[in-house]
Parts: sequence; C-alpha cells; structure tokens
Amino acid sequence: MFDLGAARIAVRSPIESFHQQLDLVYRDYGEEDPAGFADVRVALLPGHPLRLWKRQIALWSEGSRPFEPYPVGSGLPLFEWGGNWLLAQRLNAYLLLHAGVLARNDRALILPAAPGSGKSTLTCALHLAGWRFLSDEFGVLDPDSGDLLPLLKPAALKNRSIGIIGQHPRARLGPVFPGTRKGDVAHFVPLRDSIADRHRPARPRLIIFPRFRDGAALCCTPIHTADAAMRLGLNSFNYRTLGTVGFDAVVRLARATRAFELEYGDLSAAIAHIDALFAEHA
Amino acid sequence: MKPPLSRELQLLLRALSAPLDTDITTWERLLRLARMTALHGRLAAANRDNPTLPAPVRRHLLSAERVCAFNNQMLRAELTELAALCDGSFPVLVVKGGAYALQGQRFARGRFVSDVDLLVPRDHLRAMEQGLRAAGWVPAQLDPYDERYYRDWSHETPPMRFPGRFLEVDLHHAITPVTGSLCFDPAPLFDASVLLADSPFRVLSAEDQVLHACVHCFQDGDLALRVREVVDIDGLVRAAATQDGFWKRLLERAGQLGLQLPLWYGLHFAHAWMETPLAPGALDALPGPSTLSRSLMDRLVPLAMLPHDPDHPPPAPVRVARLAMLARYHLQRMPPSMLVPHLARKAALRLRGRFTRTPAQKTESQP
Amino acid sequence: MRAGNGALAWLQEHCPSLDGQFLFLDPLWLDTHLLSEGAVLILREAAAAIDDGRLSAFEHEIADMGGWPPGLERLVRSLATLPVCAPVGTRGTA
Repeated sequence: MFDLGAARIAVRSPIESFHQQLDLVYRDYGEEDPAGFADVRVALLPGHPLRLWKRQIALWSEGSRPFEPYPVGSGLPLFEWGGNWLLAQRLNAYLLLHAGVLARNDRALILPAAPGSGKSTLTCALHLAGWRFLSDEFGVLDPDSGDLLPLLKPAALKNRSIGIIGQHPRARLGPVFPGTRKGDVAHFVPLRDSIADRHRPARPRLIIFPRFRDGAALCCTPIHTADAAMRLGLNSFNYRTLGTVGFDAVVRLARATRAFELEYGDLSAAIAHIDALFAEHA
Repeated sequence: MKPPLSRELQLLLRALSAPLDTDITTWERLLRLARMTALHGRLAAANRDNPTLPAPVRRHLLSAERVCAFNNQMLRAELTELAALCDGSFPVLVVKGGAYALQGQRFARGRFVSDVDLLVPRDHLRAMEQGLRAAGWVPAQLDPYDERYYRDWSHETPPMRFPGRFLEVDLHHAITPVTGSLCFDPAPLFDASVLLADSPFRVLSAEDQVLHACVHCFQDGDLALRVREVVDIDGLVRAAATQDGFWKRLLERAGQLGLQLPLWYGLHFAHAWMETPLAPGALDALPGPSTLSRSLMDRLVPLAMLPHDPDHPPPAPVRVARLAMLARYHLQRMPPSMLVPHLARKAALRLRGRFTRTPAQKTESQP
Repeated sequence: MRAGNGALAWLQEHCPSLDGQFLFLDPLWLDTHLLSEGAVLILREAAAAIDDGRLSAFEHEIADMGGWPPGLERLVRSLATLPVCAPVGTRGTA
C-alpha cells in the first residue's frame, strides 16, 4: 500500500519481477498497513495460466481487467498507467488538471501539458533543481480550499527524456521498458523530501504552459486570464464533468495566478526563466 | 433453497436507500462492490447527508455523485434536443432511465444511464429514424448483417449518436424481440401510456414500467453484474404500490401481455434481495416457473448478477452461470432454426470474447 | 446570494468577467465559452427576455437587426431551458 498524498493505492501480486520493480521505485514511500483504506486496490496477476511463451501480466481491479495485458516483465508501466486511469475515475471530488505541479515555500507552479510539450521532462528537471515535487500527471485541485494537493506518483519519462534527466547526479530512475506503446519508458522517483511532504498542500501562484521545440529560442508570452482559464479547462481530466464546480474552480484559479506560455529549446534556460518569473510574480 | 445474500451485499443493497453507519474497512468493500455493479451513484445519493461517513468515503461518494450528475445532465440535454423532433403526429415514449429521470423518480437519484431509449409505433420507426438523421444524429457503424438483424429479428434499430455528444439514442418499436417466445403487439403499451407535464414525451404506465423492467432484466441482455436492474424493479414497485389498485392492475396486465414469467422472476428476486414488499399472494397468483426452472434460476441468477469478490477474477461458477444466462438470452430471442446460423456468424465470437478477452482500454471515462 | 433560478441569475453566477473578457458556462451542455463584452450584453438582454417570458419577441428583434452573432443563439437556447423562478409570494405544489 502506497500513500501518494491525495490518494492511497494498494497492490498485490505473485509476480516476483514486478515486486522488484516496485521496490526500486517506491522504496522511499514507507510501509503502509495494507488493510487500511485504499482509494485504488489492484492485483497484478499472470495473464493466462496456460500460456507459457510470451507470458503476460494483467491488472485486475474490482473483479475485472480494464486493460489489455502487458508482457510479464512490464508490470510497472501497467501498474502506473492503469493506476492513473483508475485514480482519475475516483478523484472527482477534486478538479484534476493534466499538469505537473511543483512548489517553493508552499507556493505552487502549475505546468499544464499537451502531450509532447515536454512537461514531464521539465517537471523532473525543476524538481532536481530544488522545487518540491507535487505531481507529474495529476494536478489535484481542491475546489473548496483552492489548494493543490500532492499526488506523488513516479513520473513516466519517455524516450529522449530518460537520458536527459538520467544524467543528473541526483536523479533516480526505475528500469527502462523499451518499446511500450508510448516508446521507451522509465519512471523517475521523486526525492525523499517531497515524499515526506506529500500531505502538505500548496497555494497556486504561477501557471506556465510549456512548449518544447528542438532548437527554439526562449520565448515567453503572458496569457490573458480568460484564456488561461479556458486552457486550464482544456488541460483537465474532469473539468467538464464537474460542471459548475469545475467552472468556479478554474475561474478562481485563473484569478489567483499569473499565466504564461513558454516556448524553449534549452532546458536550463527554461528553468532559469521560470525561477525569475516565479520570483517576480508568485 | 438458495443461499442468502452475503452480509456485505445485504449492507450494500440497504445502503442504496438509507444512510449507513459502518467502519471504514466495510465501506471500502461496499464502494468497490458498488462500482462493480454501477450502483455507486445511488449509494452516494442515499448517503449524501450521512454525518457518519469517514472522510475518504465521503470523497469517493462525492466523486460518484459528480460523475452521475454530469451523466444525468447530458441525459436531460439529449432529451431537450430530442423533444424538438416530436411534432405530436405519433406518440414518442421515453422508457427506462430516461423516463425515470423525467418523472423525478426517487429511486433513480444517482442512477447512471448509458443511452436514451425511445419507444415509437412500428409504422413510424422509419420516420423517427429519418428525423434523427436529418437533424444530425448518425447511426453506429454496423455491417449489413447486423443491420438486418437489428431491423428484422430485433426490436432495436442501430443506436444513433449525435457527433461529439456522450449518449446514444436507441429507437425501439417493442419491448421484446420481434422473434422470440415473449413477443406481443405493443399497441396496448401506447394505449396505456401517460403524457408527461410540459413535455412532448409520454411514458409507460406504472404497471408497464414494472413489466418492462422485468422483461429487460430477465429476457434481454447478458446478466453479468446486472443487479441494478433488480434495484430498479424494487424502486418502481415501491413507488407504484402507493397507488390504489396497483397490484391488481399489475397482475392483470402481466396476464394480458403474456409477461407473467418475467414478472414472477422480477418480484421474486426483488423481494429476496431488496425486501420489496409484495401484496399478499401476488407471487402465487402468477403462473410461476416450473420447479426445475425456478431451482436453476435460483442458482444461476445470483451467481451471474451479484458481484463476486472484488479482490479476485470471477470464479468458475460465476463464469459458467453467466454463460448459461447468455445462452438462455439467445434462445429467448430466436427460434433454434435461426439461432444456429446467427450464432455461427456472430455470437460465437461474442461468447468467446465475453469470457476470455479483456476489454481494450476504454477511451471514454467510465463512472 | 442567489436571486433564484432563471437565466439572469445563471449569468450572474456563471458568466464572470476576467480582465475584460468573459467566460460563460452553458447550463444545458456544461461546456465553456469565451465571450466578448458585446456578446455578453446581448446575452444579458436575452436572459432578461427569457425571465420575462418574452423570448420570441426578442428573437424577432434580433432577426430584424440581422440575426444572432455566431454561436450565441445556441447559448440563448440553453439559457431558455433553465427553470424560471416563481413570482415572490407564491409556492408551487409539490
């Protein structure tokens, strides 16, 4: 059972290789009583008992298998992606932004992301540069308080990002899974301090829509509040589902923050610029 | 004598209509069982003002409530658009979940709908379908065999969806298949239908709603985890039983339409699982199933319909029961002479698919 | 404080101004629209017409002036589906 902050996820499995992968990535999360309340409870079981070649691993939740099985050695990506999908179903008490979230002194930076924007790479790089890690995939916004809550799942890095982040001396990555449907995947483990702070919320202050383009010069444009609100809604898992609650939460969030779009080709330049923006506006 | 419901299932079914006070471990199990059977919205509705809920449970129920509220709003929106197509030249009935929502039925608070079901006279089915197409609805993609199957052998035409929207519209001209042992002329359903206030739509009479729910549950579709249909039957009966003469009318109507057997099963299981109050002698007044059928159904229906342990894949008895119910379903719809070619063409794949395949990852978010 | 159900009340709650531009939540389809101030002015007049029960008259006026701005008609139709509040002092029967 892992306490991610805003949610707890329990997993059991007879498959030894999967346990080893979990140990590598969740080592610092601490022991939770598996009999306690779990928001998501899954079992990763062998795909087909009679299949002896190309063995598979399947994720079972609530008596059914919501996904196609993976090769037996790819338990961790299945658990991570499957877990995300299941969490998204149950966390609709919150507004779930599709965003990386980091914080300095409990003031939050939100990085909403279209696929391919480089959000995960940027999130991990900022974290390694000293920002507290709240989440890579789910920005969990409490509509009542307006706070962002940590949901500390390992960040799934793909293809080139694996090398870029992996070369940082403090970075800890799980094993590389080549050739998944999303390419090569490895999981970045948040540093211990962030895990320790998984129950500390943060007040949103700055929103940056990142756009990575190879070789692009740094270009930062402010975004009008109303546009920011629209784009936040578009970059959410459940904005529309939440109806008036989602609408009010996004309007409040847009009014409480400054928003920018940042196009960049160089990661360190982007980080430096973000630091400056945050110092000025947050 | 069939085995009684497990304690947790009893708790779950009771908690659908009254707030429950229990420990957090039990609550976690109930939440999971409720999600398995798509009853979590109703669990949330019944426990909305429950002060004893542990905080994580409250969050899960709130989550279910919100997803369900959106689902219901999309239903209302779809019905609003559909209402514009009804010019009054022929009756258009909303049935099942759409009807319960329009009627504001209490038991339907927190009920999810997957599509909008409309019932129109057979003579006007084409016109209705064409009206939908002209207004922008698009039929689901089917191959020519499926289309013919839907039109001639079934009471359903292909479902239609307005591009970009969430719910499909299912047009029916009957509530039982055109072929099959329970087929009857649906004209009486229209004759007894009731106009809704401030709406061009009509709904079935209270008795016909109960019968339709029973038919749909026990004669139509695969039964896996479909206990929610029995919850519907319980809700409909409790609401309708407040009207004078309801039971007499219900039994007479079942006889008139030849639906006594599905009604018997509906009342039997609703009473067993939901403690639905039945009028004294109601079950006995119906020509029920043979002892053998009853005994089989008592064994198979709970296995197929009720949720198994959420911690494990469905055990063999459950899989066998579901398979048996599926076979029964196909037999109900078609005489054997038609059934074999049909199965050879299509259902063999489906049967195998239901029991060995995993659904591909869903692209729409599921409640 | 809510003024009660009705189109104007909805606009008050769900058509906020954000630095000069407006966001509008469609009450029927629950999708969000970015609107200019001009569009919102028309929407407010339409809402008042809805609440007063004179929407058709208002629609005629709009038609005479050359028709709705793009996309606005659908939003007005959605507002028209909101339940209108009962006059003060009366209560509907259950």
